[in-house]
Amino acid sequence: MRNLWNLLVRYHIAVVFVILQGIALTWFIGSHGYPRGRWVQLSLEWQGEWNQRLSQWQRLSDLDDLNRELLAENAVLRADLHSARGDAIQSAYQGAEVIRCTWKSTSNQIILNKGTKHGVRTGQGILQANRIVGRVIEASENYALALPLINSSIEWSVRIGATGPVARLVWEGGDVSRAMIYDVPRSTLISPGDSILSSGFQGYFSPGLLVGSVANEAPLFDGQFLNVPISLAVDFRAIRYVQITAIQGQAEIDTLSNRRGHNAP
Amino acid sequence: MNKRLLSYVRVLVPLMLHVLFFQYATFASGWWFFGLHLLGLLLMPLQSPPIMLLLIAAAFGSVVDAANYEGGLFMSSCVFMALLMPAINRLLAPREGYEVTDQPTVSSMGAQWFTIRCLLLLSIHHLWMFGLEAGRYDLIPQAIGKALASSLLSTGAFLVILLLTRRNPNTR
Repeated sequence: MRNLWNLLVRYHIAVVFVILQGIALTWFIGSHGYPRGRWVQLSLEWQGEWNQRLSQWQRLSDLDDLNRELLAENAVLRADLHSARGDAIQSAYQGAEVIRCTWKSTSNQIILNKGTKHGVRTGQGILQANRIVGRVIEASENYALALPLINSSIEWSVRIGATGPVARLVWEGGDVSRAMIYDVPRSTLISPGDSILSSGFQGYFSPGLLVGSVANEAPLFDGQFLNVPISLAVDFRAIRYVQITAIQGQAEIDTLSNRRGHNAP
Repeated sequence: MNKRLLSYVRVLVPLMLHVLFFQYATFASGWWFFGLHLLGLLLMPLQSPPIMLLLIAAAFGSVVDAANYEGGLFMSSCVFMALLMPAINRLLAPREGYEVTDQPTVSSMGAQWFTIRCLLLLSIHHLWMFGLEAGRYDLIPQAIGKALASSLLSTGAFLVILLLTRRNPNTR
């Protein structure tokens, strides 16, 4: 016991280093690319407030206010349009402003100036002019943290064209205007410029929303499947005003899905 | 406030500036990460005990992590840099050793000493950080490139900052 103590005293710097690295790497592995939990909420609240103050100082004209009004009006009009068309999945929309967006890392994030107080919940989708941006993964009272399409830690369900097969979209880092879709059957006819739309299967978005288009590059063969490079529809470097979409009846769908899951053999 | 305490307070200023204003300071499509908080760590007194360096580096890193939602990335990198800081200081020590009044600044140790120390320590920090952040083997070459580019450019920036803010250029 005494020898052990002597050893610890002798190598105390290495011991402290290992302990601190252990804490840091556990924190890193546990949250990298998908930060959630109480510390994120606290930081989000403080950061959001500070960022908003900075942004207010930088505001040069009243055009921002006008933009916000238009955003809210657009949200209402879009919801009315869905309702009038009688779409199978009805969504509610509300406007939000992006107060922070990163695009240089492999685990990019977006922070919005709307939180639980405004009805924002984890799992809601984010759109910009009917194009998919990402989804909310954490919300504090006044702010929401979202993962955009350009985050390599998550996958998205997409459909090629309006009636084509469903595939997985993954952003692999690097160019923020490009991504890759996997698991496309080899028999699928694909041409550059074909639309890539949301499938609606993940429950974050209505089906048929634009994600991007097939890039003018040859697809890669992967066994019975193709990996197809695509161009993303949203310009993440210029993103500012977005709409948060909430699918109506999502809670009921989740309950049904969970119940079936529990009863499954 | 005595000089020793003042030198520790000086260390906090770059951290505060980084968290409040420069946390998004990444330029050239991610090839230049400007971590101003690292200037604070580099300005830690030369006689600081290694344990204190590790603990302060961990605290700095965790504050930046909390502000950037990076969950441990900066903490890990700062702690790694702090571990090697005493060794780099010994490596660059003058033949007669450091004097009690020596400070790790341009005005105290000269531009050449500061540049070499800064470049070495920033390279250590950035290689660890970009390597961890890359997360995949195929992104490692790019991570090394980013680390070296960021180290070079940040060293230049830190040098300029210290030259512009030095109070008494004839101390040494």
